[in-house]
Amino acid sequence: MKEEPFAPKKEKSQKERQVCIFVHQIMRYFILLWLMILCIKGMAQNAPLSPRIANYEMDVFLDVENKQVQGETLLDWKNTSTDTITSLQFHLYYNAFKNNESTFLKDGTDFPDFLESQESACERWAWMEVQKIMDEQGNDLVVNMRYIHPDDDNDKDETVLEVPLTTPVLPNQSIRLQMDWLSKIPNIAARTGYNKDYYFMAQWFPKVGVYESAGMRYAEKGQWNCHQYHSSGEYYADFGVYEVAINVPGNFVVGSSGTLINQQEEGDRKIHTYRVEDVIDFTWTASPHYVVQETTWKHVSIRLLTYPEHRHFASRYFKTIKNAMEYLEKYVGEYPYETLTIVDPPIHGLFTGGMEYPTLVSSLSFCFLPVGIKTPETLTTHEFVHQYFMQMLATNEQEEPWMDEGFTTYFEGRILDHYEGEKTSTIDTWGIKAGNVEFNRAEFLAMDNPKIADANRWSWEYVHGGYGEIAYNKTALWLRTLEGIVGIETMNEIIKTYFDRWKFKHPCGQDFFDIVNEIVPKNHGDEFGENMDWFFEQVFYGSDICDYSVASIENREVNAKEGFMGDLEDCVWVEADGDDNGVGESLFKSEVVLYRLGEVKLPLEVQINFEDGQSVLEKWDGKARSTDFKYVGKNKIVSVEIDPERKIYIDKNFLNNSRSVEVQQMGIRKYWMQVMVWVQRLMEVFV
Amino acid sequence: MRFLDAYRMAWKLLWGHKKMWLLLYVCNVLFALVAVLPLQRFLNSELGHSLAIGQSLGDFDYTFLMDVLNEYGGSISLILNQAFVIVGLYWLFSVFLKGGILEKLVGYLKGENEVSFWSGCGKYFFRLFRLAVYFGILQGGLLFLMWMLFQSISGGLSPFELESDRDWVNTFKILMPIYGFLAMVLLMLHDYAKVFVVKLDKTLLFRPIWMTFKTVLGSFVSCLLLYLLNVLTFLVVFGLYYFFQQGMVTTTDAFILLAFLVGQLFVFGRLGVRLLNLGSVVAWQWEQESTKLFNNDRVI
Repeated sequence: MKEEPFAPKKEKSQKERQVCIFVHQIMRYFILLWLMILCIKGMAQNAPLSPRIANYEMDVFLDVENKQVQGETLLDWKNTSTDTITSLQFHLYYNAFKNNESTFLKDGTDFPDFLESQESACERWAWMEVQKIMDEQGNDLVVNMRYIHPDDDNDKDETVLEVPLTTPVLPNQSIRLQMDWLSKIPNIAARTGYNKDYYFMAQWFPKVGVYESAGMRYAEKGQWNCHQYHSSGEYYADFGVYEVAINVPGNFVVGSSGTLINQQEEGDRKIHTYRVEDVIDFTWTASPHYVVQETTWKHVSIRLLTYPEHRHFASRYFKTIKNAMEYLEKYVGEYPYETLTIVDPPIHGLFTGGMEYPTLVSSLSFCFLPVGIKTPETLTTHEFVHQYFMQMLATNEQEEPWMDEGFTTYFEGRILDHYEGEKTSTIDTWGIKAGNVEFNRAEFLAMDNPKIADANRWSWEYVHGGYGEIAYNKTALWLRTLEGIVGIETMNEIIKTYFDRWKFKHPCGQDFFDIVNEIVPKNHGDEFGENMDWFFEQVFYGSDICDYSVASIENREVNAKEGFMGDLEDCVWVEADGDDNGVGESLFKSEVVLYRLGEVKLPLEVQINFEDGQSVLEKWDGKARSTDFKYVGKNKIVSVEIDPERKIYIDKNFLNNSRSVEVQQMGIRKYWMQVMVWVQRLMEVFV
Repeated sequence: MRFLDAYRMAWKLLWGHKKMWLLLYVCNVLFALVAVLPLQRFLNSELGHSLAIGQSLGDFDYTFLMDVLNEYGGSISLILNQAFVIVGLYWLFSVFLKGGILEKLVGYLKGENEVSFWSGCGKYFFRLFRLAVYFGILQGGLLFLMWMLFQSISGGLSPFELESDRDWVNTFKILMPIYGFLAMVLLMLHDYAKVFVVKLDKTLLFRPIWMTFKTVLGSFVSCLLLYLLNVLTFLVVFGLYYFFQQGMVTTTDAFILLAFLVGQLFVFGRLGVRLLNLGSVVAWQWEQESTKLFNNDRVI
């Protein structure tokens, strides 16, 4: 039956009305709850990953004629401490190349070429000049600014600028400064600069230092951490948001940290605006010759910039970076950024290769590089790992270089050995092979003096060498040794905890040690003692070497009973399992002697192999200068191997870690015969 | 097709001088043994009881190699230096032997069977030594010239001055075949000069060198084809060696011995190719002289 359209509605009963109100209320609560969930989700999505202390908006103009960058910066700096800040400190890195009196060039033995080749070429020197600093009240702060030298008494060094504030910044308050500055770009120096029409702009703008409040890292009271630029060591900065408009000639291709949010033509020039959040630095590059190739991995857009002659390396780079992303996501944490730019510099930009910046890494290749020389793979992996150990875990690279370089080298080895093979991940060409981990071990051990320094020092305190070998290689070695001792699962848990707890913060070495000391006893009880400090004391705070060796194996045939056994009239002599006539099998008293040749004491496993094929795995705490294992049985010992699984990777010499009773004739024959054929082949050339 | 006849005759010469071939090989083995015996003793005494040496057999073992160099770098360097001295001595000895070889080969074609190998060695040693030095200087000069050319064409060796590393590759691709060809021509001239030194029997080397240039440049194509044929023979020998050596994984005693034997066969074959090369030059000159005589007879 069709209802009449205007028929009066029937009145609802009291019960119906109550039900209706109830349903309405439920609906309202449900909608409210739904809206709340949406809000929380949205807030979580937009919640900053980092404290965003130093935020920059920049307009920069690249003057290719004069090799200069003119910049205008709007800096928003937040005081997250409980102190009142009366001045700010800035890094002016380009002033390291202002003259040969800068600390960088004075204490740097690493850049003799720069000094030698640049003396007569003024256009190659560089500088950075802050022309205007104005606060929100319109106070001109340039008047009182001055260069300071927190690390040395070199008053000619102008790499740190102190700017006293007219209006102090109170706790939890921000300050907004308008800065105008001009930089003369160096001809490719350390990691930055130009050559021909290639520009790689790293450490190129006035960058505010880090204010460490009391209790942060090693700070006992609130203080600026803004070191001068040294030739050894890298950088340290606070997290923030960068929005940078880069004005370059129209034919230039630009690569940069972050995501391109706008592109705008202006006559014969183009302005590329990039934005990136929750990073500690911003780097960009430009050249008219770049070829751009792109790919994606999950949410990450990967962009490769090469010169045309290197474009064929794209597949190697993309494969490598995807492997690294996959591995690090599994074992460390997610890569949260939307982009990653890989820059493969041209040959004349060699010195800018192999560096790490937030969401931008530079690698290196040569068009004649064979597939088996895995330099692009090694560098790309290494620099990408820095996105975690340097960028997200923003350690102080100057004060604790091992924390970024050592961890990165450790993971570089893990990743490359996993995907490229343990014996072939660095070199695999013409029959010559080398794995990444073994290559790094050799780099440390091949140095003149592996005891030259401990790892607990600032980067420029490696005065007589060892910065690279100790901060990079030795650290990677002891991390791998730690992995060997505590096991890979525990190590993975340590690393994950370290990342989860400290990402987008500034951890220090002690923070990592604390996590190790928390996880290891949790997983292993007191197997390794109360904590692992004994390990760090030796491998990190100490400079000693680890070296264990098998000193000797002795098998002596003995009798089961020999001499006067009770009855003084009857001298007994019974062989093992002997019958009444004293006839039986031989019995051996075997002894193995092990030495600790180095000073480092680590717990070890020792495998003792007997002639019947049986093996015994013994444990030695590795503390005494020597120890022995003795056995009595029917089988002689044929060989002994210390640390058969090579858990103690920091051991200096694997050759003396094992010993066999018999000479290894087959090995000896192989080597001398091979060398003999080589010599013969060399000699027949002369006939 | 005189070069083909010369090549054929060179095989006959080689076959006819099997003892000489064997002598060369024995000398090579003896010198090499002297060079590597210290290494064998060193391995025995220092590494013989380490399991590491046995564990490194399968493939190239970087860690093993680096540990050996780190721990015994001084000893290894001493052994290598000593080996290089022995290789240097062998070079002098091979110059010495060459006089006897050529005296024998030239005498054989002349039908002189009483030629003494050792007297030839002594007689021509200093002349062939000087000749080797002259041609060594020429080779060095050629290399230097090519190096200079490489630098000027590619834009220098400083990477910072270079527009692209492709410049190095392209220059190398152009210059390498030119250098290879010129170096080969010099080697070829050296071989002919050696034969002229013996044939002309002059103390001063001006005339043999002059005759070499005159003869080779006069019949350049023929000489070059003969030389290329010898190069091809070497490539065949090397190819066979490479083929057999490739599949060998030296992890057992049998394979280690087999690899060594294949190596010895290669060295033996390579020495044969060397003799073949010298023999072909001698035969080519003999062929040329025979043709001249035959033509002169006809004129008369």
